[in-house]
Amino acid sequence: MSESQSDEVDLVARACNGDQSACATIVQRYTGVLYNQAYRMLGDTFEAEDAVQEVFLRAFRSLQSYDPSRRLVTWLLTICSNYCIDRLRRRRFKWLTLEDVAFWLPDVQPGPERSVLQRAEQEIVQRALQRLPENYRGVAILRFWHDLSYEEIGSVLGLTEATVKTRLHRARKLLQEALAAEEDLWNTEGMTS
Amino acid sequence: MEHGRDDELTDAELAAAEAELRMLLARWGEPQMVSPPADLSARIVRRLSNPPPERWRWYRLWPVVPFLLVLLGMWGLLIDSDAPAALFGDPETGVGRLVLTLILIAKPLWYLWLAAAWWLLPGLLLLLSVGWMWWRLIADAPLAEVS
Repeated sequence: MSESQSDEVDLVARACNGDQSACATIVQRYTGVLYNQAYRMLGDTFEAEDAVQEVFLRAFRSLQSYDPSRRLVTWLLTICSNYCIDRLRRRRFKWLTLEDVAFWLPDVQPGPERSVLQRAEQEIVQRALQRLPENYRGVAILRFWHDLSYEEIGSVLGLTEATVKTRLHRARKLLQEALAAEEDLWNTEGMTS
Repeated sequence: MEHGRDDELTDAELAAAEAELRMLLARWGEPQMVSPPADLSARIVRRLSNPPPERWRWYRLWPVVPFLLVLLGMWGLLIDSDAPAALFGDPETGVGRLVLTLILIAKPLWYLWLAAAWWLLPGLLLLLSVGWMWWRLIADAPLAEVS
């Protein structure tokens, strides 16, 4: 067991015994990772915040069941992925709000500053990600944004390594197609504005 | 769909395909970690250290309610129509009268059901199976296929 892993096990043991500072350390250490996962999966910052809170609540409720042979981050990402997938499935049965519709409409506001341009570029990737079916989106995010190994992705999503590789390959193709489509849209809008 | 021969790549091909996508993502300034709101960790810690007090919730009793209703109904249907209604007051007025009315309406339906159960039950089972299969198809379909 590596030093960082034994540190994680120690943190979890202290948190299980009700040590508030250990809980706070876990939250501070992993909020960023979970927020990113939730934001990339759900495509909405408010929903991502809500998801992170819920994931930590669930994680601390079942901290006793944490398997110390796994990295804490992969265990938390498992809870987060399951939660996001549940949320995406529930979303199918909801009516669209005006805000949801606005999310899909092209932004007509011009953005001359570099930061605005950069943000817009990242929005394109985010929109392309949202075009992927949830199964493929999950593996792509874990691989490219969290740099997890195939084995770790399998452990997070409950898949074999072979299935991870296959899904990742398909996700790559879909993401490339989605990015190309978004790029076309971006160029068309650029020409018309 | 995801286990075709085309998808079986060697490790070198896999690495090359990944590198290609990483380059494509880099053109758009990704992959990049999005910063969570600065106070998110603090909010979560506050919420964890002050969990909402556990309150008694009446909805926990919901599994008992249908059981009680069934018991009451069986009593009214099979033993005595008036007795369950009398539990809710005078069977001539108010809630007692309503219960008695419900029992009297239910009686012929119950006997009809007993007479027709041999073909109604398989029909009901078939309906439930079809509904369950439809639900699984909807729940398991990837999002893109649905939208």
